[in-house]
Amino acid sequence: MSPLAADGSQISHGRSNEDFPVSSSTFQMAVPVLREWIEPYLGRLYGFAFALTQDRDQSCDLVQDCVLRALAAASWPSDERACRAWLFRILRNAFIDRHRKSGFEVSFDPVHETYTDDAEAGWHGDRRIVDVVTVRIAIDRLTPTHREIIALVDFAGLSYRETAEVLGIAEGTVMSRLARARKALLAVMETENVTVLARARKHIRWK
Amino acid sequence: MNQPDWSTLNAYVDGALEPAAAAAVADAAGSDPGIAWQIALLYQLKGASHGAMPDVPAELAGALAGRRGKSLLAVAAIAATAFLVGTAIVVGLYRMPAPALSEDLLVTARALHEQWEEADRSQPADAHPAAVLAALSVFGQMPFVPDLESTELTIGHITVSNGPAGRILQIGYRGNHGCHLSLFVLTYARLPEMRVRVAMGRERAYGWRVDDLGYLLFAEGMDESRLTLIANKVEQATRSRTPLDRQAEEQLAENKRESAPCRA
Repeated sequence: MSPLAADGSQISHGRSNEDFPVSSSTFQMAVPVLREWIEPYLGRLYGFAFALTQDRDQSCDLVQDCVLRALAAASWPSDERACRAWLFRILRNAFIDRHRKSGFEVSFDPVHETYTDDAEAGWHGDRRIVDVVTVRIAIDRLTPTHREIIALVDFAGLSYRETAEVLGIAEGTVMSRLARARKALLAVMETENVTVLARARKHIRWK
Repeated sequence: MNQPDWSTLNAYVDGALEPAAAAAVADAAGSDPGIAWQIALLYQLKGASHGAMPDVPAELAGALAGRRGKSLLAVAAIAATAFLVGTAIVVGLYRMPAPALSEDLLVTARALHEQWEEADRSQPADAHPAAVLAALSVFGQMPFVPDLESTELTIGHITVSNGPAGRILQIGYRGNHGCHLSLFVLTYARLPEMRVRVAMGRERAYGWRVDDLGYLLFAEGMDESRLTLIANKVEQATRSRTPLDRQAEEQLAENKRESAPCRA
């Protein structure tokens, strides 16, 4: 039995959603199916939310908000595959809405990307610096633009096309932005001494 | 072709290139160790990035599951809806042609699997990284090959053969106690998109398709629940092109501990 089983009553009551007005007939027909589509992506939605907020509680709230908005939407994608990008787009919009309401504008503008190296050259550093720990530390130090595209492709496993749909940009832009983001990630690990600190921990002997 | 640039190599690792462009990159990797190194680096980075995804708080799924509060009317509505949806699915499936794996493909898969299994029992050998790259270059596309160490299966064999209608890449996973599992990747799309299962005596095969690549998982004498779970996780990994997450690895490891040993 799916842990997301719900009759939707809580969604249709007491919730005013201007972006996704409720259509009760559609709602009752498709909620079970949509619920099954959403459930496998909860973890990835949380990963994406965390990349956006960098905060555990805010991420949980954002995922729940996303699911509520999805279940309350007037129309839904016709298949699970299309549903993926749709869900991540809802979550991103929810994140932006929250910041607007609190008086802050979220900037995903690529002009804020600070990486200036030759974008299309390969990377020739020490490959041993790349592991889960160092990447986790380095991702936190990236710009929001870079964090979100890495989260969509590497956390969530979205294709370039789906990522383009979520971000509202061209596939070619996804390709170049992701390439820059990964190189920025490597640069952070290399230049900010993330590796040395992370690896040094492995040599500590706890007594 | 000119040397593939950084963006192209990234797209290659993400499976985002058209087949011809991917084949060109694979060729370049086969002849240029520098390109191969960059590709290996990007796979390593992609895998580490996926592994860096934060763990999902336990209360997240629980909190959503708790949003029920069903009234009798709502329960009735759900039951009616489930009946209608179920009926629609059954009718839809009935109208669809039954998914099947072609006989010639299964024969080829069985032959390749048994050939490797026999050779491996007499003289086990590891798949050398250079041989892997060469095999993938010949194959012409970069499929997603999941790591199954969590269920104690390691890659021991990679080869490319000619199948009934195109190239077949075989990745042989070997267990510690005689298990042999083959993952075949096919360059032609004769497999159904949704996963199907075929049982032939002690042999089991699972086939599915992701875009224009077909995947066929084949084993003989492996515990049914273990193979089913592996097929489920491998299919998910190939669809998302991401390594198995921690939860999947834990499920596989737990299942392995409870599974019967493979029967040779």
